[in-house]
Amino acid sequence: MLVIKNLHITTQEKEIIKGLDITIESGEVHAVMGPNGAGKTTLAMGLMGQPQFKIQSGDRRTKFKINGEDMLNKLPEERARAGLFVSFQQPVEITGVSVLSFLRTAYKALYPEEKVSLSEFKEQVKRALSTVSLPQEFMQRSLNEGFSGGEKKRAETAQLLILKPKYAILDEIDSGLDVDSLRAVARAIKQAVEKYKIGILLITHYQRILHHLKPNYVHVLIDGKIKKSDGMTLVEKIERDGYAAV
Amino acid sequence: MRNIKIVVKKNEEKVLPFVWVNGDEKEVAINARLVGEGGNLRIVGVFLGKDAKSVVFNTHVVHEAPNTKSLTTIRGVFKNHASFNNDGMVRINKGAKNADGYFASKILLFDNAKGRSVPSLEIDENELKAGHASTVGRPDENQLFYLRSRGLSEKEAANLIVTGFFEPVIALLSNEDQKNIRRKIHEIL
Repeated sequence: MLVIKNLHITTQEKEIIKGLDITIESGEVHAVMGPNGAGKTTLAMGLMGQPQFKIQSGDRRTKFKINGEDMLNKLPEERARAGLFVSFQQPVEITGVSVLSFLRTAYKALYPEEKVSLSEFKEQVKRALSTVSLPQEFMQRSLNEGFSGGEKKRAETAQLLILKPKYAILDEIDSGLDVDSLRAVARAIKQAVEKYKIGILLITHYQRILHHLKPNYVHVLIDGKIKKSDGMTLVEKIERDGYAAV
Repeated sequence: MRNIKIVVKKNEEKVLPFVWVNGDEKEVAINARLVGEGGNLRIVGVFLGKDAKSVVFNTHVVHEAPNTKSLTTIRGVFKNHASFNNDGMVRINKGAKNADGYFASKILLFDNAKGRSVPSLEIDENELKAGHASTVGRPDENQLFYLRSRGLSEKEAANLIVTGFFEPVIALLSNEDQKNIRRKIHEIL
């Protein structure tokens, strides 16, 4: 279980997330919608431990736990090893580091006990790339270098299937995708949920992806707080009447 | 000080790799002359220094004949208190028509390391191509965070970035040199 209670996140000395509660079970999909500036990306980056987004941990009511393990004051890599993953809106490009060697290095860091042969690992990468409809040559390309916007989002999603976190925060993974890319990304997320029971926190502006994924809960984030939580009916209401009506 | 002299004759193609991985040499100069028409020279410098090691590396490439081509590529990574000092000169003499000289360096500094890389051109001919590009910078915080978010420690993340940083120039060398350099880099990281 991913438990977040009374979460406050500041960036540049300004409080953006102002007391947020959310609990996610394995295999659940939670969508977070909200207007621009509500704090969606701050939430994603703060939970992962980006140094510029600080979780305020002074208040004893504040909790951030993954399967019972305290994540407050933990380094990003410690949170990753506890099973947390975040997809980036703008994944960085790293020259000279192939997708394959990056994934292999990350996998070894996450699962130091597991012995997976290179050929076996390559097969996993191949399968994940094919799920997001990326050609397998991508394995040998420098990480994200020269990838189109859509290819970057697909590659981020493919990482989910290879690194198999327990909980994944997907930050606007659907923004800027054409119909085919969206379908590929949604297919991969579905697989992550059904096959690996990954709990998903899906941050989005659009209902399109939600129709593919059918989230268990939809939360509306306004001014750093969850204003309302409900099922898919909430999405329809937002589409029709806007956030002000929530 | 070590002085490496190299002469490229007519239609000759030469590749000069220079690898310094926490080396003991403190000062190295490469003096290259392209004396014959159609000569082609590629200098590849790979530097990785840590602790308090320091090195001065100067390249001096002179185009003396027409249709000669030179490309000097330097990649350096310095950590701790290590330092790097580089002047890269490309000179094109009168009469070296259609010469093409280029100098490119990229230096990555960690911790309190210091680096300087300054290219210069001296040109006495009118018909030619020449250029240079140099950057001295620090590791990208966004790259580090991205890799850490995937489970790599700060050191593992930095090492992966460094390995990748050298790859494009290592790829310019022979297979055997590539293997040796990768091994040397791996040992020191």
